[in-house]
Amino acid sequence: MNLKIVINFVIAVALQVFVFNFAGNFTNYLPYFGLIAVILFPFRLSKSLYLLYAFATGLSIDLSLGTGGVFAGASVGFAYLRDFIISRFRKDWSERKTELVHLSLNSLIIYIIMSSLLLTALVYMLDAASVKIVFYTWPHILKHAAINAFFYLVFTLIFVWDNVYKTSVK
Amino acid sequence: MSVINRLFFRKINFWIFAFLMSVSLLLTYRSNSVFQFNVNNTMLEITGIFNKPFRKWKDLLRVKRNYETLLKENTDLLNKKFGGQAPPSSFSITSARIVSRHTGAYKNFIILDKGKADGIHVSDGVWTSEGAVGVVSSVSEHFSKVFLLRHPTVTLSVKLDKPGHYGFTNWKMNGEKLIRVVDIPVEADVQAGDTVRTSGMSLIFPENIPVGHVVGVVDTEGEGKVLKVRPFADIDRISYVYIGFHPRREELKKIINEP
Repeated sequence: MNLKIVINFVIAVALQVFVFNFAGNFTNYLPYFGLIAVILFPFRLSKSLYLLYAFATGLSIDLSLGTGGVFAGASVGFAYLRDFIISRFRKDWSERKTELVHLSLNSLIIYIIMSSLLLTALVYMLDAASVKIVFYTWPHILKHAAINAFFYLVFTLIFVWDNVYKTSVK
Repeated sequence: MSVINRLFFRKINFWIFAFLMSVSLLLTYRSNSVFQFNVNNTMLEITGIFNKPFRKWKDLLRVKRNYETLLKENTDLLNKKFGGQAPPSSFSITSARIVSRHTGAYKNFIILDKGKADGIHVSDGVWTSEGAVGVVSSVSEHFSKVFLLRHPTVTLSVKLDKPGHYGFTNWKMNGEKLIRVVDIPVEADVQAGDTVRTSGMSLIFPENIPVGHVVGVVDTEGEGKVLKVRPFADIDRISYVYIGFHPRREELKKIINEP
């Protein structure tokens, strides 16, 4: 499991730096693909480790983009708030009984979309040093979050989610 | 130990989050100008809110310094005002602080903290923004003595608001708080409430410095009117005064006294 976390980190950051940063020159919305590593971190591991992991992931993206500590701050914020947010929706999630890979498709989609929305909003807020920016630029945040969520879902369904194979085998 | 355990170790995740978030914000602040601008504005607002209650007390402590600054600015403005009038009016004005006052039924005078070293001369006029105060009678190196309007030797050339009526002030040693203005023509239409101002003719005071307002008129049966005037300047309440010097005053005095 720990090796998987490290592999996720390396792949996510590498794709962000070598693929998506370059692709960002052709769009208005740079995909924050590197943050998938933060979203896919297992629920059952310790929160302290999660916070440090999120910080390292965000900082790696910041170093590649030259944004200081925006992604690091957004990742750490998301890592701290993740449990609180998902506990409002699924009781079994708050008890850490369900791992991400074993979620149903609906739950996975909801989780990916919510995470993408929260992370994108946090990045915008930290970049502008303003909470009110969310109210002024919410259409951009929504579009950006949708693009991020698309890439997150594709990656998750192809490389991470076990249920796809289990149901297909059935 | 239990306190440390409760506050720190049990909430270790929160402290890790706070530390990492602080580092992130610091890195962002250093690299992002928009972030810097917004943070600086927010800190300014917060500082302003906290400083507001203390500002009142700080301002109270600085009253004396602010007053002296304003006095200096006012002196400079007066210099420009009176220095810019048509010749021969080119007064140079200094401000001074009253260090002692002696008022009573008889000779009234004050001592100022400026003297020869500060460019003060005998017979310089002394006034405040309220009105004329007196005339410098003697000067030492660092102090000067000023006889007030209520002093038997002080005589000012004054005029009434209504044009054409000039006179002189004097004061009888009768303990009164009022001064008198004499040599007002019989036909002058003077009433209580009229303002008396310096005429500027003696070059002791600039023109139009307020002196007082008329409280009573005494008709001396053909010899002119005598006005009773209450001075505007309340010597018991003022702390700072202006002193005016005209460079041609001595020349004027000399020519007046020549036979």
